[in-house]
Amino acid sequence: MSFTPDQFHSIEVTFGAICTIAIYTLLWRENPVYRIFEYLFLGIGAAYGVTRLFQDSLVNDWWVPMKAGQWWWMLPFLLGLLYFTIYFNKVSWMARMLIGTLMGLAAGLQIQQVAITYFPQVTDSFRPLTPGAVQTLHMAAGGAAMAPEATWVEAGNNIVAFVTLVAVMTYFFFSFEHKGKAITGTAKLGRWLLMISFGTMFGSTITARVALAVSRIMYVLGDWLHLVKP
Amino acid sequence: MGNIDRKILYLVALIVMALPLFVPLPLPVAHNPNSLNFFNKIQNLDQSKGKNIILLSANFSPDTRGESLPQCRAIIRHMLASHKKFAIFTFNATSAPGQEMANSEAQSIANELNAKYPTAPPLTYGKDWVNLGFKPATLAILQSLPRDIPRWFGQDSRGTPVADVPMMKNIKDYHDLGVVIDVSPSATYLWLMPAITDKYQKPLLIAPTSVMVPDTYPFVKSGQIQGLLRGVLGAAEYESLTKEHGLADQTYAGTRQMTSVAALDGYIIILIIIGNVAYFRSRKNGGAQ
Repeated sequence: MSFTPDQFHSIEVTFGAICTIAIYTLLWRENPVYRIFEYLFLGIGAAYGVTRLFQDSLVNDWWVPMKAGQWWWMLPFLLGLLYFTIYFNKVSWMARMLIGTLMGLAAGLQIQQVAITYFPQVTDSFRPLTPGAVQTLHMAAGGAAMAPEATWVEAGNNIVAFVTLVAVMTYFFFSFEHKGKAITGTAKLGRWLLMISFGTMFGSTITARVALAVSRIMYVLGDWLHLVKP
Repeated sequence: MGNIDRKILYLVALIVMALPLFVPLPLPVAHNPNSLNFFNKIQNLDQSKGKNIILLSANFSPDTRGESLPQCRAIIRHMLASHKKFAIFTFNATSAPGQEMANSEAQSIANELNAKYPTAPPLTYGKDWVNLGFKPATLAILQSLPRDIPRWFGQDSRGTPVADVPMMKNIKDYHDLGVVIDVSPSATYLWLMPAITDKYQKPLLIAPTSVMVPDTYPFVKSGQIQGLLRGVLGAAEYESLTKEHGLADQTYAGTRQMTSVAALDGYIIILIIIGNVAYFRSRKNGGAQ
């Protein structure tokens, strides 16, 4: 029995729609159909990931070049085997050698990553707080003159960022006890600002989940039932 | 109020989400400077010398298809309609299907545009875009990509050596990259920055899911990220920009999806207000504290 590409596509979409509906039955209540399809999803996902890693990484990048005569690709394999010496007390130090080397490598890379990624953030936290300073710095950086309203908005944003930075850092400063109205007030403001930012993140999370749900509805109503534009 | 069965709330939510798909709502899409910057970086890219290709890292998998794919589709439509050459790849170990989904979208949009403009030079795989496949990489591995691009990838997803792919003929190292785009639900941009974009001063444009957006703002403000598409809203904004610039004659699924999301957001806001009113009324009446 063979299928035309169109027939195969229809079967694929129908199976996708059944999976979608089965997963959403959880909204009704916990049930075996949901569990079966959840495990199916996890199983397929894991199998696909392993297959791709095996084919695209191990076979293409390691086995194929080695078979073509690049024997030195055997060295990483032999070094990797050292991990297993951890199971034999007498030679377990060999595994530690490998782990230590890799930890050193990771630490070095991490330092580089932090420097490249986060140092510009530190520099960027120094911002002009007055409209005049915003304009001056903007033009000094080669930009065209900003509209006066835009400089006020930018200065306002920068003041909010500055106040938030100071207040949140105060809240997380535990080296001394928070005493006095100035410190406790600033720390309290920091907590409020953190709550606002967490609220924003939570709102974004809801939007993301809703977008995923809508996409499944579009799939079922559009791709499968052809009731709406897919 | 607190006694409403949650199944009824879900049912109403389903109706609220589905209704705008049947009865389109003319929801205006606002212009966001981050989406506009994203669009302009691609639009103004000069590829006339066969260099400056766009590296599109599609680091998403089916679990975030609902957000990442509309973004990816909108970006690919823009690149194909404006004849910008791009190379798709995936490096995040958990996102292997990303490059396949992006490549399939590219093929389907190219077919659509070829049928629509039969007299124009046809958009073809290898000449206008290439799928460099899934190359699982950590930061350490990714750092060697900019030094020798053809060697790093080896072959494309069809088994052709990268150096033999027509659009990759003049592409050797990081000098030949124009823009790097990351479509991802994870913070994979934190690897692209030290490995490619910050290190070699290449523009980085990202399309994260809505959940990730607040985390990215500091990088946008500091100029390390030069364009940002905010979840499915970003996809809708991008579709709108593509249409306004005459590169598409309509908006697509991203905009329709965003209309439903907006309708449900409205429904959730109403529920929050009702819930709070009910809570404060019950407190006033000596109920739950």
